[in-house]
Amino acid sequence: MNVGMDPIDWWVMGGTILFIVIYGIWKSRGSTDIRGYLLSNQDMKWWTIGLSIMATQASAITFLSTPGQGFGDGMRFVQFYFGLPIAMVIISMVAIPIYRRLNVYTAYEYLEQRFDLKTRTLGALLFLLGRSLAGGITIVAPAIILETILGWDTTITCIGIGILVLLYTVSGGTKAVSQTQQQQMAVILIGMFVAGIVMVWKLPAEVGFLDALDIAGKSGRLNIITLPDSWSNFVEDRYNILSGLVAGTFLALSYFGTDQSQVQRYLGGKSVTEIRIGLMFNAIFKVPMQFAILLVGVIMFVFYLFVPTPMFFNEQEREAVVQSEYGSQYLELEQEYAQLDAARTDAWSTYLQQKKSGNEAGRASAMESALAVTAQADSVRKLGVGLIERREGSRAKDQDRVFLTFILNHLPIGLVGLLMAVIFSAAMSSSSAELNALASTSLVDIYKRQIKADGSDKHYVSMSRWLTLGWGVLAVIFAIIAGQFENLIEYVNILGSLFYGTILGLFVVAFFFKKVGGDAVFPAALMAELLVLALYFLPKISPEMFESLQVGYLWLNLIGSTAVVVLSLIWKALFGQSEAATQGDEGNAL
Amino acid sequence: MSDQEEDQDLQQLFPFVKKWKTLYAFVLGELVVLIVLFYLFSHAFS
Repeated sequence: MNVGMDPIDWWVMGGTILFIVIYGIWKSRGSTDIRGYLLSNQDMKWWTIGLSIMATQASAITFLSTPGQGFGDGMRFVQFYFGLPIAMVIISMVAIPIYRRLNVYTAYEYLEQRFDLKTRTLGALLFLLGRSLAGGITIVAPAIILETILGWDTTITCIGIGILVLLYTVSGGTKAVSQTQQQQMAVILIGMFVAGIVMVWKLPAEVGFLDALDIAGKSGRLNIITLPDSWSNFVEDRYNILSGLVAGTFLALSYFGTDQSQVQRYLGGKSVTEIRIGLMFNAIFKVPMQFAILLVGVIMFVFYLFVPTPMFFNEQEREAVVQSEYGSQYLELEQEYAQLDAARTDAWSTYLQQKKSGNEAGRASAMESALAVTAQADSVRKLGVGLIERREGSRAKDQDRVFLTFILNHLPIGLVGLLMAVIFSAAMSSSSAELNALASTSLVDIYKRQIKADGSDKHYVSMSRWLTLGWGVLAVIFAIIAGQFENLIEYVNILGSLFYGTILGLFVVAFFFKKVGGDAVFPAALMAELLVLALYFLPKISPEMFESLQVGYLWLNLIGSTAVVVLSLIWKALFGQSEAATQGDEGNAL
Repeated sequence: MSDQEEDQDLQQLFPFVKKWKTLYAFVLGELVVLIVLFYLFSHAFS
């Protein structure tokens, strides 16, 4: 396996990243007032907003894992995004005019104008808690993969990404983040498009694009629309059309409507119209983009049917199991897998020959053989993965390694550098947005509101820069710690969705239940958060006793937000309260 | 801002779209069309 990069790749990668960083610093120079620093002087056009929203959502792990998802599980992951256009329309119709009319700097500022200070603080703290942990993961997740494949030190990669991001985010604030995200998104889209083209071009001569789709379809990789086959499947399975449309809508509403790392991307829009068009841009292009990325993974699956394929793509885990007590068993399975891998290549080649000869009976029989040998290879791989799982502290997943392995081993010199730039661009784009949002929320909702309300503009800009730096250093430290315990990453990823539902619930009550005030919604939010935490943790603490409570974490958003609404209505009915605060026309402007 | 004013702002940016409601319907319609196309695509190669 090729484990290095050519000097040309280093130049392409380094040149691309440095250009973006320098461009960001240059383009955002002169942000000296807080409105310019946090809201980019509200001068952003719709395409900047649209690309910025897209780039914030797309982290490095999106571009490493999604093709791997297509490779291993097929296309059904695209259903996860079906709720996004629906949510974008709702946010555009309901939230944008309100945020804009109140001229808020953060989404949580609105909660005080609608309810009270304690509810605003609760929303801001839930965001800060979830997003600060996720910020570290955004940095460390690609760093770990780069270490296992390229041998780069995780700590140094985390510090490197952190420094690059902080260089322009601290100096230029929101404008620097949005401007660099345009370049980063351009690099990402060009890189993924080129990777897809090269992948099709690298298929064996006898395998055309339609043949590749045919083989992928026969192998169950083009399963785009799937239905849950039972109720338990409906609530536990993340990727089917119902969970995508229902739970996916709630997740997207939480993320795009109430998460400051996204809200800040559009609050700097020039007008309501520019913001809405930016959102609609995402609503139109996000699903097709995810489809294209997954399709790259599916073509990669077909590509690996015709070239020798490792049984497991995580080389470090493989080495560890080979050195363990299961080593000899694993090596035997690997030998068996190599034989089946070769037989699989022959079987699919025969299938294509029969198909092209027009021999229907021969084609059907060859397909059966090819599917049978593919299933055999899969079951041997499963046994191998089972051995890896038995080793304590192991991580028996390799789907996020598949695409990078392909890049390093099969892309021509120069393109490897471009694809590495894609990974870094994605890591930097989402990380910079997160740090920018953490700094804004801690400045506007905590520092300015509750600690020092009479500071000068210069003081707040300076404080914002220090807060961005502080959150950046914390994110890098957390990334380095999480890098030592890779399994932590999955738990922390889920952690964000433990808070999203409650935050969304606060906003749903604020937007749609005008008679419910802060006295009812605050205790309701606390109870809803406890309910969500109980639903997530109890089945883990005592699986036998609480098995029936097990739900896929995607649903926690819906449960949390519904609980806030229902509990606040009950609280109001039981204990009553004064009429809700009237929504002010003036923002709590800095 | 009234619905009419919002629609006028939209037309200034995109003269070929008359109303926000039309744009929202287009976005949701695209989702439905994509789901149908995805279904047909899956079945064509299954």
